[in-house]
Amino acid sequence: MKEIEIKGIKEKIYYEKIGKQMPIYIWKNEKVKGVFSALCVRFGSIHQEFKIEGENKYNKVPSGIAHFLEHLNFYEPDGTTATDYYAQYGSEVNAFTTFDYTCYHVYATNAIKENLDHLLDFVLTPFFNKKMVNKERNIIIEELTMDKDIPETKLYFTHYANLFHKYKYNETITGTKEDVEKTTLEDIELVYNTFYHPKNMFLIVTGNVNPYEIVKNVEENIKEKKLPAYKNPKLKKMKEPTYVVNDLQEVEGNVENPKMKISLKLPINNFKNIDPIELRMIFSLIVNNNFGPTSDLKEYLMEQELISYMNASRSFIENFILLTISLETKYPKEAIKAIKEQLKNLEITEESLKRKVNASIANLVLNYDDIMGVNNLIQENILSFNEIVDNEMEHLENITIEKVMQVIKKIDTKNMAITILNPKK
Amino acid sequence: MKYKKFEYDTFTIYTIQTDKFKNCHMEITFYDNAKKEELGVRNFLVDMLCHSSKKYPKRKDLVVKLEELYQSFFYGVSSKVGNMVISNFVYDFLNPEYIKDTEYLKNVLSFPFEIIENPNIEKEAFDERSFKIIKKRILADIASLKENATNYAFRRALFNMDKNSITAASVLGTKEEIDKITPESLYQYYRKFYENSLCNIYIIGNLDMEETTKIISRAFHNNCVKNHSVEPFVDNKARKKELVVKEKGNFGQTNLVLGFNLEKMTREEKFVALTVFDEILCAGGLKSKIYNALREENQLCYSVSSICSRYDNMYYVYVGLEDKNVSLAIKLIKKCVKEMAQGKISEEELKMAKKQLYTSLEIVIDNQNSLINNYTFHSIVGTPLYEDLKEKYKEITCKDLKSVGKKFKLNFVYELQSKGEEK
Repeated sequence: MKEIEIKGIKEKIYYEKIGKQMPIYIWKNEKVKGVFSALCVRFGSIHQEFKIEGENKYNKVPSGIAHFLEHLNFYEPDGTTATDYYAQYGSEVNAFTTFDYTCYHVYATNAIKENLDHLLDFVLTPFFNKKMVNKERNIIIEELTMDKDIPETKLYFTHYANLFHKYKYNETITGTKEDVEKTTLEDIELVYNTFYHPKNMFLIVTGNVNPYEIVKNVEENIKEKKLPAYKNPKLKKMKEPTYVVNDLQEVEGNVENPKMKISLKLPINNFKNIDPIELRMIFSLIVNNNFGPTSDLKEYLMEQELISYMNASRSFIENFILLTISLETKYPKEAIKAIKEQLKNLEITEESLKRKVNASIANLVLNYDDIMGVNNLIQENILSFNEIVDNEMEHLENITIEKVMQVIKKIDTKNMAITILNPKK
Repeated sequence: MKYKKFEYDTFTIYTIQTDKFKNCHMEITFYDNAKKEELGVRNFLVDMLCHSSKKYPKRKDLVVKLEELYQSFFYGVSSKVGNMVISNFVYDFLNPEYIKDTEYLKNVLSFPFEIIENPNIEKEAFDERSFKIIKKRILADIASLKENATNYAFRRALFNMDKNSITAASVLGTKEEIDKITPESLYQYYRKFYENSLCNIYIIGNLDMEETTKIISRAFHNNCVKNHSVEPFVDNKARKKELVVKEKGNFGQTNLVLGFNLEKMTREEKFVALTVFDEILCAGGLKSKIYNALREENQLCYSVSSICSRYDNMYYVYVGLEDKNVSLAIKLIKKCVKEMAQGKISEEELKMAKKQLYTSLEIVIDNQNSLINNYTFHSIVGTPLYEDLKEKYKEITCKDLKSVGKKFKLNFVYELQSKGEEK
């Protein structure tokens, strides 16, 4: 087993590859009682077209199928559900689906071996039939009707549809009612048999555990399973244009004041000479400095009563970086003008950079304070870099004003999408 | 974990010393009996005090200082719990063991008191600039209450139940109340708030609590002696026959709320047996009776939730669903509650619920905010500490749950009806 020292903050993550196929990451914290285990499958809502190794034809499955499968996977062959199993230990089991992956997780404080074993058992034991597909279909339709009533959700997915032509980030994670209605048992079986394999998964265990015992248990569990060969699916590569779908779209929703999102769509290739970890950090610093609570812009917009809320973020999506500002305003035109102006004149001072870097270093320590938070942090590391980043502090200390300015110079405001959610007339 | 209490003339500091966390968490709590007409101004004041101060006149200045204090977090929140209003100034900061600066503990602990005791006042009025910003934000928050289906349905349900009850009042106040507040009147209220509110400070972390409390007592200049106490419970009256209200909503789903009075329920029942009862009835997720009846057996909804509003002597069940399924859902919810009151609870269900609650207790004991929240209500109302709750849950029997069920009286059934399917 490999021990990965997180430099500068006295933390350690244990790593092993189970049966030469499934990575496991463990963070031990003896001061707490609980153990949080997350089994992640690299199959999310964007994975809709794929080819199985040895086959010529691409399979196309309905949108929302990853989420549908997540619901069905809780059913067990003996007529019970995974929830029933965990109830006997009082453990909390749940799952979620994102664009990129599906995660099944258990929070337990006793019978850790049994809890973890069953996580692997129920996720890796397929059991589907038409009756359960039809039953869950109705429940999922209620779920997506409920989601539609949330204005932030509507704005989020409409905005992504304005940004991406080809990437399936332009669709909701649950799919539409029509997608859910047309999903069949055969579709479910196809995606399960293709993607649900230890070679396409990773396991993260955080909390009061002995890492060596955990690895031994997981190894034994996987070894006992008669798993079919991995089908090694090839996902259809989508060539996403650099330009946005809609520069500006106004839609109506259940809001009292307009809410909006403004995003720059930046090709990652424009920044290829910059270390990818540092690039993420630099973008966070730029976003925070120019649109966060210490920015002059936010002070100005609030003082002029042009906004009642503003938040900014950066995200890395395949070959693109999104720099997104979300706000609530009664004066969209004026707010957009000010945001655009700031995007064209991004800035940071040496003093501000130093202070924000120090604050980020303090955050590195604080990140290792609760077992769910650390588990999420590891998930992010694996999804972004396919490994644990053990030298974040060094990277932060390496960031200079010159490097930040170099990134700022390359930020092009040409490809911008604005989505406004207006009150209903 | 070591719990300790340090009493001063005008406030008390409650500490939990533990090396579980890298962060320290402090809450400066001002609490009092809730007055409906003062909820809005109180919430406004808390927002205002956390936004800026004499030394940090802009929000930006204050956040820069927090970044300098190694990414500390400081914010305020007012909440209404039964008949109490609790205004918390919440502060998270890095444990001193990670910081080389020997003055760090003193500086970091003094910061929130510097802010709340030195607001940006000129000529007995809050500064106009910050005042306008906060006012705009609160008015937007009040308006946005209509955007969230659950919140809106609850607000309308409680308004219909009894608009004069403190239970129905929003902690944000109303638009009309906010419009009346001026920088001058806010300052007058600040003085009243500071002079009259009862005050406790709660702190958890790996700190030398003797030293910590000494620093706090020097930094905090509260010298207003208070002699009153709070009466936390609201006596919402039960009805002979339930009130049925249907209103047209603006959402895709119908939002259904059922409200039950907890009639003559003892304090012990509310804080122990009711939790076990709720776990079996609704809070225990897919295994609970209502969840099972609505979702698993009839696929009427994605989720259903309950709230034990102990201080309001109320219990609510909430569900979002299609119009055509509302009648069946009401029938099933009523049936589940009735069966619980008839004692139709198996030993197995009770055992499972207890296990779930033991785990939940072990989980919250690993969480700083939960520990402080528990300590707060323990110190103010006398509710059990987490570490004593497990033993109390153990003692609960099916008979106790039947007795709790008998005290449920349906007060209202409220429907915020769907606007119909969007084209």
